[in-house]
Amino acid sequence: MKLLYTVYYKLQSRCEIALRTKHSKQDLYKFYTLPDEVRSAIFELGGITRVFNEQTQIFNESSILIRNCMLELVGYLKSMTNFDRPSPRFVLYGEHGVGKSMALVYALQYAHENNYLLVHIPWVLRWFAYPKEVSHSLTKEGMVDLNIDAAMWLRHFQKQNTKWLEDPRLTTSQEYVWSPREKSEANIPLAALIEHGITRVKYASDVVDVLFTEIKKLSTEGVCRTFVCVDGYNSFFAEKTNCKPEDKSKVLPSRVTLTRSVINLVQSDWNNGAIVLALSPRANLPDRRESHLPLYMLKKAGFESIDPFVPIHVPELNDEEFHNLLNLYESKKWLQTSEGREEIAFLTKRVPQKMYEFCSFK
Amino acid sequence: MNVAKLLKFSRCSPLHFSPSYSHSSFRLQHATGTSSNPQEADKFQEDEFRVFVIPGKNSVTEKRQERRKLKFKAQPPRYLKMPVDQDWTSVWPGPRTFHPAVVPLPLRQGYDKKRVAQGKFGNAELMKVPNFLHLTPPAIKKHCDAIRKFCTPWPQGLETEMQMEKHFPITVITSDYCHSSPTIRDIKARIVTIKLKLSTLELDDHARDKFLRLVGDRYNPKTDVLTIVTDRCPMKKQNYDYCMYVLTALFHESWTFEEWEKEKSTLDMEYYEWKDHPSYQTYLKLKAYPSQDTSNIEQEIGQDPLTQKYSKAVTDLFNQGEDVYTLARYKEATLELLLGQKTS
Repeated sequence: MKLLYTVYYKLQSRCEIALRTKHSKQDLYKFYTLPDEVRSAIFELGGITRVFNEQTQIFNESSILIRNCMLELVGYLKSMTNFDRPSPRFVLYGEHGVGKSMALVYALQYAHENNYLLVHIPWVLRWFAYPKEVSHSLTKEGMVDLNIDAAMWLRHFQKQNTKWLEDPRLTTSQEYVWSPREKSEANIPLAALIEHGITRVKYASDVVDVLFTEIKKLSTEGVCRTFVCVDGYNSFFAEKTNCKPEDKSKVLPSRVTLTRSVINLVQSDWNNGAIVLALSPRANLPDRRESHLPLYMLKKAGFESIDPFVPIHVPELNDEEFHNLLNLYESKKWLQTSEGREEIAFLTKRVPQKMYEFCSFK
Repeated sequence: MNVAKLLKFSRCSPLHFSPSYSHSSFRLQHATGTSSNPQEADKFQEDEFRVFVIPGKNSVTEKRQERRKLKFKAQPPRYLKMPVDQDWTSVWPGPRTFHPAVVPLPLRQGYDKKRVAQGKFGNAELMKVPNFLHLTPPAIKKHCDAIRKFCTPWPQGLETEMQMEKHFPITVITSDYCHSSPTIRDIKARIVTIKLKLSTLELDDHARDKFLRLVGDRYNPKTDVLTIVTDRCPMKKQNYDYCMYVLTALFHESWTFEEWEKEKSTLDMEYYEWKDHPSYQTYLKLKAYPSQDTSNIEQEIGQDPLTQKYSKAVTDLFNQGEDVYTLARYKEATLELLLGQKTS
């Protein structure tokens, strides 16, 4: 066994290729470094998990393990040739902590390199579990707005697509009336629309809705190529939220305007784009986390909202990945010894998040 | 010589005065062979050493009472006298608790870590378990011979199981009880069970669905057998009649179509039918894209192999439940549908 470890220990586990587009099967199970400029460009306002953030601070390096599911997903994205067909949907599923969000990080980076317009919702449950401000919608009867959350998301979108928003071709197609005194003219740049949403928080949810409609139109016309990415999509079909409007009425996710906008965005009525969704048992209520399979997590309604989709399973680490990760921990002096690996594998089921927590005595 | 020394030594022993003591002392003297002087021996007899009595420690009673002996001699077990060719059915004619002296078998029952398992005498474990010593093949044969005169020949054309099922689809199960008690009635004798295969009834899709909903868990889908048990009437005959009535009523009720049955929605369906669900509409829209009109597409996709494949994958996912295999087939179908990639 010891011999086996040393074999793994000697493996070249670093990948020097910077571009995600050029990664191939030979780079599998190696670590690549997420450059700081990319990190600040895409993930400054969310998208990177707590565990990975901690690790980055501790190791002073953001290394990401290249895994099969990442290459599979990016492979599908690369193989898309016919952009006249409706945007395909890919669904990542797997147990809690296996690295679904890291796969999304990888895909987002790929999309960023290939000049996609990014529509990225980092963690849907944050809207429903910790809503900042809940108010009744002015435009849609019986619906509820999450004003500050919507505005914060607009800021995230603005940050991620700084380059695209300077493009003069991205304009609104029609006039939008927010209130008797406020309206947006047709043919104003999207950047102005977003700015309106951020400054007039009251209308942020409506702006998000309008923005999605416009993005769908622009993509279909071929102005931009859009990459939609939602982490924790199954939260939209949970039985409960923590949103409490003034009248203390019960709010299901379906009553929130953002839910309707996002579900509308992931329909197959637009082309020239790709949709990647991640499902997580953590995004469900605690009584519904027995299985990590898509139909169980989404239930029938959720499944039908995105059917047909390509399910991509994110498994636990395999032998090589497992030893590579522990090798990294050892080289960073995070793990003192190379013994006891079988025990770690047994106790953590090779789930990377659990491994990290186990090795840090949490 | 050193006899005194030896005696001194023997004084230390826990033995107190007893006849055996004097005997042993004599032997000691003899063994040393130094003195055969009777005077000296007498001196020893007189000079008995004192007994150190510890109150409470030394027992006052001299001898344990001997056990009372049995007045009569026990007979050896019966099985030792049994001839090898005896008629066992008359030795053990009916059901009875195990008796070690009667059964001529070297049985053992139980578990001991260090020793061999306990024998049959005084073994409660052997008495606890029910035995079938009264149901030996010769006993059954004898029994059959005795009741043969009451039997009629087996009807022709009912030789195989298939033929029996065809001509007699319903199995009626009742029980009779015989006790040696003041009453010959047993309350359990009233229960009637009937069993039949559902495939023997003529039912269409609707009737079958309704029938199954009416009978609930009385139907076993694995064996296709319906079981109805009646015990509400006091007599067996009444229960049997009631059973037949229930079966008839169930059959005719499932064939009737009530007005309210039209309200059955897709959620009430017993299985997933792809074309009744939103998934089908989304599929049509996807196929028709970019046009919004789905009416033409509907006819086109009828015989399309990809549609068939996809429809089967979705249906299986819902009907069989999701697992690695159904998900893999679904993935295969969607990959071909969305990206035009053929995996197999």
